[in-house]
Amino acid sequence: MIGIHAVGVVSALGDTPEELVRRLDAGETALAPSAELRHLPDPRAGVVPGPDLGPWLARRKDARLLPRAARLALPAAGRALAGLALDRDALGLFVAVGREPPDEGEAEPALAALASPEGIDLSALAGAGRALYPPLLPLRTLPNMVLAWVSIQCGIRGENGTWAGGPEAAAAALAEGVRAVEEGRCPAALVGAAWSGVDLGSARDRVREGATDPPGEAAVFVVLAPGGVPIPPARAPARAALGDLGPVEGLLHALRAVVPSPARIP
Amino acid sequence: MTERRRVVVTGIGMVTPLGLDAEASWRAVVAGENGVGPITRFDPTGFPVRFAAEVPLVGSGPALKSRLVELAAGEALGQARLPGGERVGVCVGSEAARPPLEWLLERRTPSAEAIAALAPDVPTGQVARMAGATGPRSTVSTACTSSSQAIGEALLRIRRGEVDAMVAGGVDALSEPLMVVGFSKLGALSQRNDDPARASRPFDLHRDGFVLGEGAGFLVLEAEEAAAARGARVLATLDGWGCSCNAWRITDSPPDGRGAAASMRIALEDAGIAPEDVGYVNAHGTSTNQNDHSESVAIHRVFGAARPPVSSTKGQMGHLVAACGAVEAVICVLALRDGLLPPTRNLVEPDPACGDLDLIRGAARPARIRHALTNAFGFGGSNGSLVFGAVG
Repeated sequence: MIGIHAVGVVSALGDTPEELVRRLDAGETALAPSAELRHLPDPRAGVVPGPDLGPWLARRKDARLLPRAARLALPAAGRALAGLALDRDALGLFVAVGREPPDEGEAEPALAALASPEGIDLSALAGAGRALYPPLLPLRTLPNMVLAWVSIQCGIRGENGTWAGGPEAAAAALAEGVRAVEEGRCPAALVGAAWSGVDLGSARDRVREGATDPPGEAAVFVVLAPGGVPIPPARAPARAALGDLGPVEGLLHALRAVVPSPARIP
Repeated sequence: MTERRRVVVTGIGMVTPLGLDAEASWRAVVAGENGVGPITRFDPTGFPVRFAAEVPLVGSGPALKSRLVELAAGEALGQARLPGGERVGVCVGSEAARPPLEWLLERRTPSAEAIAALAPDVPTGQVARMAGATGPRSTVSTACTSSSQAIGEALLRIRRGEVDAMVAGGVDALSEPLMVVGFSKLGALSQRNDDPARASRPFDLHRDGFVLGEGAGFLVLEAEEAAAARGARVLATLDGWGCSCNAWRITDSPPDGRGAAASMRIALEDAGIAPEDVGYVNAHGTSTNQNDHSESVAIHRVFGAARPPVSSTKGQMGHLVAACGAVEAVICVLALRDGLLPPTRNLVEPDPACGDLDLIRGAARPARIRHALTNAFGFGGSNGSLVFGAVG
């Protein structure tokens, strides 16, 4: 049997499974008005304070290169791996993400240079706009940046994959992680999901698509290997406390493996 | 121990800058033709890079991607005549389509449908509908490795018996203003504006970067016994899949080729063959300094004295990013079928730093081979290698 050996979490209600569960059980909610979303019909969001990447990022200056979801993922992955003696050359890494990460406003100056009274002046992108365009932005907004940064910072070199979508992407990542260990392709696997939808662009798109739950953000990573605690069955997500967590909702139930009987964990 | 299921290819389809179907693209690849030309999707005047490898179709954004999927997946499904159902799954390598500049500048408010059409899993749903597939479906987004990983996942699902068939492949279209500006600022793109036809030159001493491209590739993969039971024509076998991470840097490959070598070794082990059994390597060969050097070191590490013939068809058609793994997988199937190994266009002066690889240049090389290996390596450090086998 392949089971869960460790869990790491970063959430708006705490950075350990125990704290998250305790606060959920106490009826707390992370949803609060966000200044960035003040013009939306519902300006609330479940925003994670920080996070502090200090222990998890080798070079502090690299922080600006990480999309928000990767900034949440690194501490969650690091906590899941802490204290485990694993062969990281063979460790598998299976990650679920949502849509392409937003650019968090870095492209704004370049885009502003394109605006003209007549419409869009594309030639400005070749001139002033180009100079203002951040060189690493195309890479920072790739969906596999969560996997890339966790792999680089944690030294993981085994089989890997990034699945894009909602909770079903996390289910795919979890299933592939279990099978990779079962079939002997990796001795153990780090499986995770990370998502941030609290920036204005993402939140506005959700509203336009008809979403009614406030956006949230979180990351959950689990270490799978033979033995351990059985993977709990999934339940329907509870968004009232944390907001819409996208693909992370498909992995939240793993927390029940380390914190038995939490009433409010889906 | 239960014998694992063998997986065969019963349908292929591709749309590339060289042609709107697999046979047209293949003929052009073998002839070493050029698929790179001036950008037509937008006015690139003044841009640092003014050329790309565009498919000969009108359109942009999600509509273009949808058309690419329709043609390539439709061709593969038409060839395989695959019946749909719950024993058929879909796995697609794809990334989100980029929103138009008008949205970004808030000159136009997109509809809910228009936003939803950007999602990375839209092509997956489209293929599932086309195939009548109600089995498992997933979307892999690992940059340039996406569709190679999608095919690898499909192989594993069939072997395990989760399904009897999978439609797997990938799609991408990157000839867009922000992509051109962004990747050129990164220093990743060739800037040979005066001679686009010679811009993509993998393993050449004078290479200066890759060429952004567009395209789609799909394969119908089936359990051998399921294909036999319905009398399907088998084009090739899919024998092995390997995958690794570099754990190195976001933009660069490690100079020792470690991750790429691991991916190829795992694929060979999975296929149960030795390096000397491989008769052709379709390299990732992007035409960047970093990749081509690192990959050649990795090929030397894995194959040593076996020295299989190597080429990169990105010389002909540029870099199709999320679609490149699938398109190059189709090329391997056709190389096995026809006994013809495609050349690397524009490889005039092999870079000595890439060692003494047996690089195919000039004309295609006739060779009846048993196995072909194709590599796909992504920004961020994910590597994938697939091994295909000849029929009979």
